[in-house]
Parts: sequence; structure tokens; C-alpha cells
Amino acid sequence: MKRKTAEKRRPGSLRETRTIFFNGLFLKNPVLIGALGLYPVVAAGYNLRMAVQLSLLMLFISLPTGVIFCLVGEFLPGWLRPGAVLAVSAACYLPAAWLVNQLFPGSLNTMGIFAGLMICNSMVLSRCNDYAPAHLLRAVLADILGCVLGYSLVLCAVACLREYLQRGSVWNGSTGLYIPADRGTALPFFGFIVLGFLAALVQGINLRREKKSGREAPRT
Amino acid sequence: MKKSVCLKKERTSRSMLGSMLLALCTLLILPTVYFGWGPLLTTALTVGLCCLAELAFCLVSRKPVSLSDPSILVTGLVIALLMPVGVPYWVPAIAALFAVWVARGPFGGTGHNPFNPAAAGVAFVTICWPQRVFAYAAPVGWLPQWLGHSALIPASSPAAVLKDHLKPDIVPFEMLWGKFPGPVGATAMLIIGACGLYLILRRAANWEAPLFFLLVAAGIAAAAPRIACSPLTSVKYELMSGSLLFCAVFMMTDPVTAPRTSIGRCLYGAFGGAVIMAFRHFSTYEQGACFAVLACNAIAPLLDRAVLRARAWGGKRIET
Amino acid sequence: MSEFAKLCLATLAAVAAENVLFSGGVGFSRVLRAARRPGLMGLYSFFVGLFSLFTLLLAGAVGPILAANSTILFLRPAIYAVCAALIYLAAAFLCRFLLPKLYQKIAPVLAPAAVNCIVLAMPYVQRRFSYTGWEAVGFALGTGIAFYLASLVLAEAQARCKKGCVPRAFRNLPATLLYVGILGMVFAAFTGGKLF
Repeated sequence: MKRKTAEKRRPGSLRETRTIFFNGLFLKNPVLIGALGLYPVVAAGYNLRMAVQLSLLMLFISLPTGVIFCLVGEFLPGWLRPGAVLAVSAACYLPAAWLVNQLFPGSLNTMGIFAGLMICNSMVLSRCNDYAPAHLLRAVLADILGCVLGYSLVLCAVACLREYLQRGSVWNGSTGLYIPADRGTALPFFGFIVLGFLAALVQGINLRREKKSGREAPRT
Repeated sequence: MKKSVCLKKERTSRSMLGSMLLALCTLLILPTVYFGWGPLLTTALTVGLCCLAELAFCLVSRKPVSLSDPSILVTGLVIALLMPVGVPYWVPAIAALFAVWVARGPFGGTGHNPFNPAAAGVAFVTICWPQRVFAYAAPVGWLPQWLGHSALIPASSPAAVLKDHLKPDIVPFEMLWGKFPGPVGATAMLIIGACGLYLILRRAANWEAPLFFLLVAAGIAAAAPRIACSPLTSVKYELMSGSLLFCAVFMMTDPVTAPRTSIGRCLYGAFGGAVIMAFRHFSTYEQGACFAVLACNAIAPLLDRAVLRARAWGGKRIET
Repeated sequence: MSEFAKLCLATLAAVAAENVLFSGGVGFSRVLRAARRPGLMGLYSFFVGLFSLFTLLLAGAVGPILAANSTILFLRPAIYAVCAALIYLAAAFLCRFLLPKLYQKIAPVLAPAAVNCIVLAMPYVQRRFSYTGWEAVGFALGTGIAFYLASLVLAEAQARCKKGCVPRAFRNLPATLLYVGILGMVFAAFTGGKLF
């Protein structure tokens, strides 16, 4: 049976865990850098309330799935793992969907296909299939929490903007300003365009950081 | 060695764009006569905003600003000419901003945009505000605006009537003069045709793409007419309604987004003709010329690649 | 209408008017990854179409049974996902142990092609458009073709978006996303809205 090798076992370090968390949250954001899980953002991210519901659903699915595959993933052969991840994700979907429906009654009906497709969200599958089996539990938890939080921030930001542009409201509450844009901004193409600019913003910030660290290095 | 004065001057992008600008400005004459200052103001606003948007993008991205590049003027003019008369100024303004900040600047600016920026801008406002973009007015007579008649009379364009599978009131011959509801610069068929010939003779535009675009569109119009009429009548109405002819002359000939190979351009035009007729038959909007242009832009590199591969496979010398 | 005509129309619908990729926004993460592997694009698209077909037929057969019970209705997405997982595992098992040479070739694309949003969106497509029999085959075939065409187009787009003329902040993924967004407008105009 494959075991975690000494190379993959890293000495415990809060700093490293924090780095993993912030990588997932921002520096290596799964949506804006990894282009993972685009569907909910572009297709469902036109309403802030739904964005929050989907974010919670993603958290409740990915956390237990990630923990399970951190513990048992390395024992599964590589060809078996993707199917197993999908099956476990489907199993975790049931309590997750129930929980979200308790927090937001009727949300499951509203979310429709978007909720069901969270099971095979490429971000969830990628973290649980590729990352979790080869890393320690602490790292996996930090990674999943960082990725989910980063994903949720992007999803909610995009949804907030699109809801405002489409209906002049945020969280279904009117802001008093109304810029009518028909339903154009609710369509997937607009989600891609907003994502493109957000991705450019993050990439620009990352490039500046790299430039700055490159400039600072010779001094030390 | 002294260059012979009999040799034709080489084409430059500036000369090509200059010819394009001249042709586009010609299309402003009739709408100004029919509707007054409105089209000119809209054009000035759109062109001005395009320039400002380009300047802003260059400043933010720290690129050098090129004052001698007229391509941004072409973008602004095309957007303005595809708008209806009386459109609120913010519609072409948003189209202009979208064209520069989404379809042009992020891809590297002049000469590097994969999509025609004007088509992208007009497509965006069409999807977001279709009622505004398709709210046309009928020209009521010669020089009405100058005589104090300021009200615009809303009217359905022939394209909208055809969409409802009805025969337009206007006869095809009268459509040559542009005296019917439609986009500001896309109704004067005779002038658009003359501009097309001028651009081709000046070698500012290729002939393959517009020719095959029109041929295929005409063929589909003849084979599958939307109204109960003869094939020839269907062809006349389809080619002269909407912005089909305008797009064939001014957007399908964009050298940046069109294929580089001759056969590629023929296929590009044919594909565009098929797509625009598909839009006319099946889409929700009365006009789909801009969307057809965007679809063609997406496959242009694939066409070039396919043609070059076919040539290599056929053993012919690859044209560079 | 003949079965062949139904198949052709469903194929055309999947590529154009009912394109799950551009009109539904589904599966673009996979398309972007497929576009980075031009050599495997054809195989990738073939398996996407094949697994979409399995899921579509399964949804057609099992859907009415699930719809009859409201409790099972809640379990529906999970049931479909588990079925999709079992289909993948069966395919991987068969290929790995019975056709090892073939498996070696298709291993990089088999799992991503089988386990993705496009395949799992098929039951919703079936519920929306009620495709059965040859229509389902046509739609799955069309989805595979649409995946292939999208990968082809995006491969060119990604090559273009890597160039030095593109502003650094927009290079690679950001410009590619804008590219997809602009192209998505074409399908939005064709369908008049979203697919789901």
C-alpha cells in the first residue's frame, strides 16, 4: 500500500499552514488562477443570495470529502480514485443540501441544477483527488478552507455586481439606484467577462509582488 | 535605383484605414439629411469616447499612446453607424467602452484583437438593451429636421417585418436609397455598395470575404425564403434589410480579424453568410450580423491553419 | 420525422442552440484543460460524448422512476453522480485490465472526461428537452463535437493570449476568459438566454 513518503511529510508549522490557506484564498485562487469551478460563478453567480447558498454547499461537501480522502486516499489506486471521489462527494451532498435547506428554506429548489452540479465541481474534485491524499490533515484542511473561502469571495463578488447591474439590488433588496441592463448581465458570457477582469487584477497584483520580491532579494 | 513613378504605392495600414474612414464618413451624409444633427452628434460622442477609452487603457497599462493610429476612429464610426437614430447616448457610449476595454485593449490593442471590437460592442448592447438597439425611426421626408420637425416616428424595420414572416411595405428598389427604418449607416444600400467597390479597388479591403458572404446569404435566402415570395424577391429583401450589407463591406473585411489566406477568406465569408442567415431564421433578434462577425472571427485562425495544412499535404509551397 | 433526421437535429441543437458549454456555461474548466493538450483533444471529446450518452440514457430510463417519489427526488443529484462514478469505474476497470495498451493511451483523459459537470448536466438536459432514443444519441454526439470545437477554438485563443503584445496582467487566463465571454455572446444571442 502506498504510504505518505518522508518527502511529503512536512514538519508541522503554523506558518506553512497559513501559507497554504492564503495560497488557496488569494495567491493561487482556484477560480482566478486555476480556472477551476467556473460553472457556478458564470452561470449561477448573478444573485448574491444564491452565491452564499452555493458557497455554503461547497464548504459542506468539500470539507468532509477532503478529510476522508486525506485519511484513505493514498490507499486507493490512482485509476479508482476519481470515481471514488465523485461517489463520496455525492454522499456528502445529501447532508450538505439538507443543512443549506435548513439555513435557507426553499433554497434547494431555487438553486436547482446549480446545487446538483456542485457534486462534481472541478475545484472540489481537484482538491480531494489530487491534493488531499498526498498531504497531512492540517494542510488539507487549510487548503480546502482557503480554496472554499477564496472561491466564495469571487462567487459572491461577481454575484453582487451582476445582481446590482441587472436589478439595482443587492441580496434582493433595492439600493435605490437602478441601472437597467435587461437580463444580459445574468447570462454566462458576462460572468466570464467579469471573471476575466478579476483574474487580471489578481495576476497584476501577483506580478507586482514578484517584481518587488525580486528587487528586494539582492539587498539581503 | 530610382523608383518608377508608374508603380503603384505600397499599401500601408494607415492608407487602408484612411480609405475606410472616408467610406464610413460618406455613410453619414444621408442620415444627416433625413434626421438632422442627431446622427452626427452620436457619431462624435462615440468616436470621442473610443479615443478617450483607448487613452485611459494605455495610461493604466503603461503602454505608449499612438496618436497616429486611426483604427480607433474606425471602431467608433462603425458603432455609431449601427445604432438607431434617437438612441440614448449612453447606449453607444457603453458599446464604445466595451469595444475598447473588453475586445481590444486586453488583447494588445491595434492589430492584435481577435474579435472585431465594434461588433463586440454592438453585440453587447444588443443583448443587454435590445429594445433600445432595435428602436428605429422612419425618415419622414427630405430635410425635415432642418425645417423644425423634430419628432421621430417609431417604425419597424424591414428586418423586423421579415422576422415576423411578413412582407415589408417597401419595395426592394426603394431600399437602395436608404429611406426606410434601420441602423443609421446601414440603410443606404447604393452608397454602401459603392463604398465596398471603392475599398476593394483601393485595396483597402479584400474581395473574397464579402463576395462569398453575400453569395451564401443570397443562396440561403433563395432556397429558404422567410416570406411567401419568389426567390429573387427574397434575396433582395434579405440582402438589403438589416445590417447585412454593411457588415459584409466594413466588418468582414477587417484585415486584423479575417484569415490571412485567400481560400481562408472565401471560407470565412461563406461561413459568415450561413451563420447570419441561421441567426435570421432561428435567433430571437431581428438582426444578427454582429454576432455572425464574432463567430467568424473565432474560426478565422482555424481556417488559416486548415488551409496551410491542406497545402502542405498537397505538396504546394506554403504562402507566407 | 425519421430517426436519422431526429439524430441530426439533436446533434445540431447540441452544437448550436442548446450548446451546454457556451449557453449553459457548463464544463469550461475541462475545455480549457483539453485545449492545452492538442494531441489528446479528439480522444477527450470522444469520451465526453460517450459518457454524456451513458448518462443521458440512464436519466431517460431512471428519471421517471425517481420523479414518482418526492423523497427520492431529493436524492436525485446524488444518485446520478453515483451512477456516473460507477460508469467511469466500470469503463476504467475494463480498459485497464482487458485492454491495457488502450488504457495506457487514454488514461490521462478517461477520468476527466467521465467525471465532470458536462456529463452530470445531461440528466437536467434530459429533463428539460425530454430526449430519448436517437435524439439522446444525437445530443450526446453533438456535445462531444461541441466540446471538440470549443477546445479547438480555445487552443488558438490560448496561443494568442500568451503573446508578448498582450498586457502582462491579462496574459494567459484573464484574456482567455474574456475571449470566452465575447464568444459566449454569439450563443446567448442564438438561444435568447440561458440553457438552464
